[in-house]
Amino acid sequence: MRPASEEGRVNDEAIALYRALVADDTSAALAAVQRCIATGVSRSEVFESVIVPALSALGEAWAQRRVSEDVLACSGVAVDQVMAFAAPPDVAPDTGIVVVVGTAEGDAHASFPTIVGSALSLAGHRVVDLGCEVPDVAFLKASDESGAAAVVVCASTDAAATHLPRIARLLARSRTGEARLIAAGAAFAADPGPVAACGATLARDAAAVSAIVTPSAGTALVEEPS
Amino acid sequence: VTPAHHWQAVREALAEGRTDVAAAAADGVLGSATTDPEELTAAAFVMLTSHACAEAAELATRAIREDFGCVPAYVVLGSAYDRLGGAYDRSLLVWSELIELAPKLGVARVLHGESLRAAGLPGEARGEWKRAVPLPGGERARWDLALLELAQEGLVAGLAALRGAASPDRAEDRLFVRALAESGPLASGVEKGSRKITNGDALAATEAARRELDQRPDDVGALALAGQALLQCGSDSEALAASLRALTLKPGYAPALVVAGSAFTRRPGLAGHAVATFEGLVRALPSASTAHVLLAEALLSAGRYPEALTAAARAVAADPGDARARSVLAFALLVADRHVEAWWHVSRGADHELVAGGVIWDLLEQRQVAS
Repeated sequence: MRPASEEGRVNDEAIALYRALVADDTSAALAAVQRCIATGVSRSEVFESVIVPALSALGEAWAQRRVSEDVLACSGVAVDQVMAFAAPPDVAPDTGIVVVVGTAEGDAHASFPTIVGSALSLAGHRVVDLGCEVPDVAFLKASDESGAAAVVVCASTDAAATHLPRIARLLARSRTGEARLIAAGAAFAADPGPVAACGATLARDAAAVSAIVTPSAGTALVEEPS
Repeated sequence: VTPAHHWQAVREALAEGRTDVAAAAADGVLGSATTDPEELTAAAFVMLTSHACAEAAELATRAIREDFGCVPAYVVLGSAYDRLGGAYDRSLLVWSELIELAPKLGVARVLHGESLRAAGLPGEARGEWKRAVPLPGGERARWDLALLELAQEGLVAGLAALRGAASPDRAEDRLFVRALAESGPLASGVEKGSRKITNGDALAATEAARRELDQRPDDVGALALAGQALLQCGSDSEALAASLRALTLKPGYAPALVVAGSAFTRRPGLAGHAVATFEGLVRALPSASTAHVLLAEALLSAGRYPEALTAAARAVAADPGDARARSVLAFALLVADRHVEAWWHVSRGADHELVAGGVIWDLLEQRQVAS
């Protein structure tokens, strides 16, 4: 719960934003939002506690004809500007975590590693996409070169899934030796036995891969190689 | 009953759920020596709806032999080969001939694209779907293109294509009108204005809302109506202002949730707020397929893929004929690496389009009018 003084300040900024929207003063509108963010209020809370009440008040004023259609229309420009500050970006900030993704030999399906790679990118990770039909040793090479925190081996066919133990053995010889092996895709989901046997982690879908790779709160991020 | 009218009787029997009567009529045609292409096509279609694909193909082939210009017979024949499986060479040939015959038939290009994708020719499928989009009956291609974009380019491009596919869809307008009708008694001006929303006349709807608000500035129905009309005009911020005012006056008011949620989805970074809004909408209108679809789309944008899959599955359960719901479910299934199920839902969407959409009957009627 916010202290009363902070609650009051946020309310004041909501009023300031409303006045700025009515006056078609974009810089004053931005200043109101920036003041809130500067005091440590989260973007989400700025949206909920400042922008939403200000827009609601604007709607009320328009409904009561206290502001004209023109003022309502012009306020759209300022709203666009403040939204850019209050809304978090679609792509999460860079985590610095490098993840190697590819489909093992024996599987020419490229769509799943593409989807997994893009889900990881959206979560802010740096993805090394090896594509499909990747030779076993290429996973090790890419992992060593990039300093990867995780290697995701995708397989939608049994033929590709049989490569996992060899890839695990190769990664164990890695120079960095820190990459976590993740097995993803329909073939591993259907038969998870070999996944556990070679010390890999099973991820049934793109969301699960992202959840495994993303550090929990408080976990230190992988440092960038110097 | 003359042959020309016979298929009308079959159509009525199917529409009334008397599938036994329709199937008996189709059986009769299969064993007869009739040469009427319409009657043969209608019987082939009944066989197709009964999953008797080989018989459907036989009857449709007979119809085409009688009249090489019988467009609906090609649609049935191509669909029958697609459903038989392992007959892509034949179905692709049928679709190609049909497109030569009726180049502006959108549904033919969509189905041709789906056959090309299934045959492992995604590049050609993409081209065919792009040609289908502007044609009448080719709307479903937008969703197919979004799925292909996801499979080939990944989530960022796929989600952008999904949003692009949803933008010309009028389902939100229909959902808004339904939510308004179910939310209690309405002022007569608001009721009239909601009809304008259905017709896509945003200006008239805004004027109706304005007149109502001049009388009662706190009328939540009029505020929501103004919001939806402003949204139709592309004035997202103004729509948000009107809908948020309505939600301040009446929290959880379903029509305003439709407007606010739709406005949130149009802005980057507000997917989380869209999810919260559409969750409220789903609670208010649990039987509305589009409400679940909107929630699923917002969940996908927010990166909450497993929950999106559940919401999309609920949308399909609420309305199995909703092509958008099927496509969003297919999208979520592709993210979960469940390709077979994903494309199965796409083909079920095509089946519903053919059966419930009445494509075959419309084409038969067009032939009758032309003759």
